[in-house]
Amino acid sequence: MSALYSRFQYSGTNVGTIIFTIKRLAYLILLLFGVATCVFFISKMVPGDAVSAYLSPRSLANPDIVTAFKEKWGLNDSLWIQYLNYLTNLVKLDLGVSIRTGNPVVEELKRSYPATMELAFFSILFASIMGVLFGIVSATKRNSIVDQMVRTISVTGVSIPSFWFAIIVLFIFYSKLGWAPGIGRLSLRVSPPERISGMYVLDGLLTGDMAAVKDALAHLILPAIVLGSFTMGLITRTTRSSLLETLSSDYIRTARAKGLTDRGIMVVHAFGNAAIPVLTVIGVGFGNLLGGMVVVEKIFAWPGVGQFAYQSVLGLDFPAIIGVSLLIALNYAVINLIIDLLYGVIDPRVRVGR
Amino acid sequence: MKKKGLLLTCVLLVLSIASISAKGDAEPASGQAGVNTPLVIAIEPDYFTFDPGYAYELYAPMIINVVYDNLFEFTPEAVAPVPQLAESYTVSDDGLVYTFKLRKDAAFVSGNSVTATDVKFSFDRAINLKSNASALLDGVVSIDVVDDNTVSITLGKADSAFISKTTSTAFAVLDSAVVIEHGGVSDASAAQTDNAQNYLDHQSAGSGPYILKSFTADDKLVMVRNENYWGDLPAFETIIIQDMPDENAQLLAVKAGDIDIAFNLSSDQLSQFDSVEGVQIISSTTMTMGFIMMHSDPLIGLQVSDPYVQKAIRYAVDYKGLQTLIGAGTITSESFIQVGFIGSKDPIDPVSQTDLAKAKNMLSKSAYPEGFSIDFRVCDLAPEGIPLTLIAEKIKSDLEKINISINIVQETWGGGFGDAYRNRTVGFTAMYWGPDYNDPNTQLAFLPGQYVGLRAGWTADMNPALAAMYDTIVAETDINVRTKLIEDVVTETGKDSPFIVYAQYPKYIAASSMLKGVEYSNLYRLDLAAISK
Repeated sequence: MSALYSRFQYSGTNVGTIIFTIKRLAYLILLLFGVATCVFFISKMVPGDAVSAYLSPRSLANPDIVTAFKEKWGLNDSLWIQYLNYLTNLVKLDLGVSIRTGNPVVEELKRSYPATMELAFFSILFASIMGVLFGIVSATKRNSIVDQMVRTISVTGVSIPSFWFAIIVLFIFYSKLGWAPGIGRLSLRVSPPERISGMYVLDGLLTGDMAAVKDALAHLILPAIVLGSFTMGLITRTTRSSLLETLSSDYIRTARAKGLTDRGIMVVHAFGNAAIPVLTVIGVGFGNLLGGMVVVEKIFAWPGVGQFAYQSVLGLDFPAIIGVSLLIALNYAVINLIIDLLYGVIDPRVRVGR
Repeated sequence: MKKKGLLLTCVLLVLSIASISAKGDAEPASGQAGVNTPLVIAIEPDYFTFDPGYAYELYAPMIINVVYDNLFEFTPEAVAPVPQLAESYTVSDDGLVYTFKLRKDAAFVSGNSVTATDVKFSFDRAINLKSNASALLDGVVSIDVVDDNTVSITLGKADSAFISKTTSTAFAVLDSAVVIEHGGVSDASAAQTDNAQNYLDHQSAGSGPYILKSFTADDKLVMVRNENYWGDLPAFETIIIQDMPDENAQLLAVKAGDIDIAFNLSSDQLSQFDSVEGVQIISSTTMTMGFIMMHSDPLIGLQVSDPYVQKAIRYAVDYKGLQTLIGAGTITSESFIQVGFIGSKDPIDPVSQTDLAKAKNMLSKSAYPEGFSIDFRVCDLAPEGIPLTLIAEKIKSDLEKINISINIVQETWGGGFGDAYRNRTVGFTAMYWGPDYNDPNTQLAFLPGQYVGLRAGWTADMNPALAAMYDTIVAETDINVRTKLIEDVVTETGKDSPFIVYAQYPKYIAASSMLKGVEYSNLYRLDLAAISK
């Protein structure tokens, strides 16, 4: 108890941590600038252009329509003028207008991002809880039948293709057993809760709309499992190997010699020290979830960023593609920042090192 | 004890998940009750706007058709357009001026009457937005208000398909007062200054039987019945169109009764309904047409520019095999005028059309009697869910039988193929085409010298008589004469052209057996107002 107490007390006023955080935020801005520049120029270099993608054959045969389209979307300007306009707007947090939907990209991301974040959160929650539990069971029961089973599950989770897994779980739990609801975020008979964050579970809890909370949770189960299965497998394997390494350390042997129980050793000494690699995997996994949303969102008709990105790429909607890229980069950077800060909370050596 | 604790935690977690999900599905499915319950349709949508001035996508007409009215419409039983907002019309002797009398009882959702001013505003706006929809109004020179209930439209050239064109979404009539109030502009500056699209994507400014209530992209669209509709009220009070991009998810949902109509099924899935009660399968032939294109310019088409090679390929293609590949209900038209249009012929016999002996004979007369190898460019599109790459594989195996070796080059539509195709630099490919409006004149774009014909290097000077048919048919307002002229086009192009039509695609819809009036419409996809229980 005393060790845990001093750890949190110490981390609260660490000047190094503040400087570290400021530095990382500066890197974040540089990173976003780099991503914005790369995506802008790559999108201009790829073959195919928005004019051909959006205008019909009949319209392309009409020069007035082609000219009006180019003028409307600023495609007549030189590349550098387009880039300058783009950066100027970016500073004002204006990502432009989606050619496909005609709405500001920022509005489209505001609409779709909460749905994705909600699903990603529950996926990582599922992956973390199950992964850590499986990892602990597997490490403590090394080479037993339970260990073999857990390792099989983790390998399956890592290797199973999500499009196939999604259809299978829908077929079994929705179509055959009727245990889970079908696709979408809510049943058609249930109205969404009043919008605060756009995340139905959170909004339902904040507004006291428990019917919406219950229905939203039910709809989250299958996509969260499908999306989280890969990360769960990784977390299981990392937890197991990290714990095995820690459990073979001298200080654990000393703790045992002092007569501590297995549970005491695991909770107070072993897991805390084995947690850093696990935390890294959780962080990377969370970032990967956002990138892997496309397939799961398509099959479960989840109106999130993945669907928006998929449709935007198909339609060569460059303002939208750049907006999604920036959002994903921002997510990765913020998650990494949080993970780095958590390292310091868990491991005093990291704080001192800063 | 420790093991049991962990195991107990796992079991409790799984049980709690199961209990939440079981509770989540405890109530009856929405699509199973009476007409007062919503009609729920699942589709893989392609639409993103319901502004008639912009909408051009395949499924947008399904919505716009019931939210807006047009001067004319197509009904399931009619072979020609029938008046909707128009009560009657006259055409000047030169075929250039159409004068429409509007019905007086039609009103918009706002309560405003539908007047000639609204028609003028809507058509002017559609022209001046310079969008995909505008292209359908090419040829309209002016729209003039004669009086509140009379409007005249002047064309630059006589157009025998003009009345058919007025049934398309670009000709929907909008409530001008409401649209102007929300930033709508109809003058020449509309392309830059009109700001009404966002409003029209989420709300109604029409006089149709349904009112657009809400639309969330990638999620769902909700329409409610217009209780003050001037015509017959449709059966369902509410229609929900749920985005469901995955066809397997659609299949599971319609089997479970969570949706009433699954709109995007493939032929492979049909057998899964054999033992399912309460679901009907509607199989229809669409106007979506697949074709092989062989460029006539030797620099681009290489060997396939040789007319004898084109004939050899025409005989070598296994039409029956392609029909089987695409699915039950596939037919093959003789030419690029699809079966179902006036002037078209009956579908070809897919078995007798393939004749390898004749194919080899034709090839022997060409400059390449021993056969040859050639690139076959194919893009990633999938008309009615069937990838063109699959079609390319079948054509490859067919042509191997006459010593033509195809090297399939896969490309993406957006990644360059689309540009090359439209810039007329694709030599040999398989593509598809859907009509822009419900009239065979739209297919005349395949004639020599027209924009699709030119993609195959088929210039007007290669067949001046056939090229001249375009203007003749477009100007011909006598339906019988026009039908005969189109028949002549089919006869001539069915045997000799750079295009080989390999199929007219089918469409499969699964619907609750309780529903009536679920029919595929080539113009609207589904006539939602005609569906009842």
